[in-house]
Amino acid sequence: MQRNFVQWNGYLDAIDASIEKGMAAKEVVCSITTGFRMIPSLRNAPGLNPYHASVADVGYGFDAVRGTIGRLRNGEVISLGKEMLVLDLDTLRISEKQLSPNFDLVAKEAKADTYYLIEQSRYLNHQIAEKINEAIMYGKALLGAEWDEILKRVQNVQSIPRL
Amino acid sequence: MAQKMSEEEQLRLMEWWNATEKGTFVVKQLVSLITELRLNPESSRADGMILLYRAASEVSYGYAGMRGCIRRTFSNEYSEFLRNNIVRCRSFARKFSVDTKVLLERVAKQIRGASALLIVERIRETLRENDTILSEIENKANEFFGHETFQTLQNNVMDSITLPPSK
Repeated sequence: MQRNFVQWNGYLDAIDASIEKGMAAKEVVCSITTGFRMIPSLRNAPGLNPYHASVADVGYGFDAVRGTIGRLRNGEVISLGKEMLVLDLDTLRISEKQLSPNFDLVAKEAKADTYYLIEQSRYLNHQIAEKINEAIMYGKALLGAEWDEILKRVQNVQSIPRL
Repeated sequence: MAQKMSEEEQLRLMEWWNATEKGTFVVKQLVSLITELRLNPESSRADGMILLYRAASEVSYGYAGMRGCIRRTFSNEYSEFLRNNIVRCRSFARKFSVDTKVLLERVAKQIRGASALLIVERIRETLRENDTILSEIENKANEFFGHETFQTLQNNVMDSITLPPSK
């Protein structure tokens, strides 16, 4: 069942590289979203709070997956390592799906002079989604049939209500 | 309105960027440890866990936001708006680092298991490193804006999230 070491590391590298390519997009999206809080027409727009929360969740997930991979690469033995990767990767999938419906609510309130920030966010969120899907694909390749089995178990923690 | 940065400003902003680089390393460690704590059966149901996770995600957000602002500044978007934007992101990182520390201790009170306590100790250590980086970033921000301007910008942020007096 256990894949060999070289293959294992290769997939970890692939997950890490996918997310790394999404980091700049995530950073700019975080910056723009904070900026929305300073724009009178947007700062209290319906959808902005849940959108901001999903952006933060994506940021958390990117950092957590890369952090866990970094720890594993440093030779750390993490007993829940696989569970951590599956939880954070699958939660990224969920957060990404929550981005656009809330974002669309915010975008409705945008005025002409801020529309470029809306367009840029939309473009970057699309890029982020691609990188998340890529990382999940490699995660599934890393764990094979174990992915679904682990996912079923971590769903107990994933289902804990969040703000 | 896009503004031009002087060469000196560009250098100082680059130093600010380099300080956030260290921050990204620490914040990756931080949230990975928090995921580990969330999953560990000895700690996953502790009171305060949800808020702890949320607070940490805002620390990660604050760093990312600062870096996003610096990226935009270097791609010719520099403006008064962006100056306020980066100060706001920095204040997020700082504010939520405090919340994370407070919440961690609340969560820790409920934990008895040795393996979860070990993770808590590592999170404490990571948060201390985070504090060091945040004060380094504060120095860089001071050098970039100049002390007075930085103060004014910070006050603006605080005013914008405080109930103004009635007229």
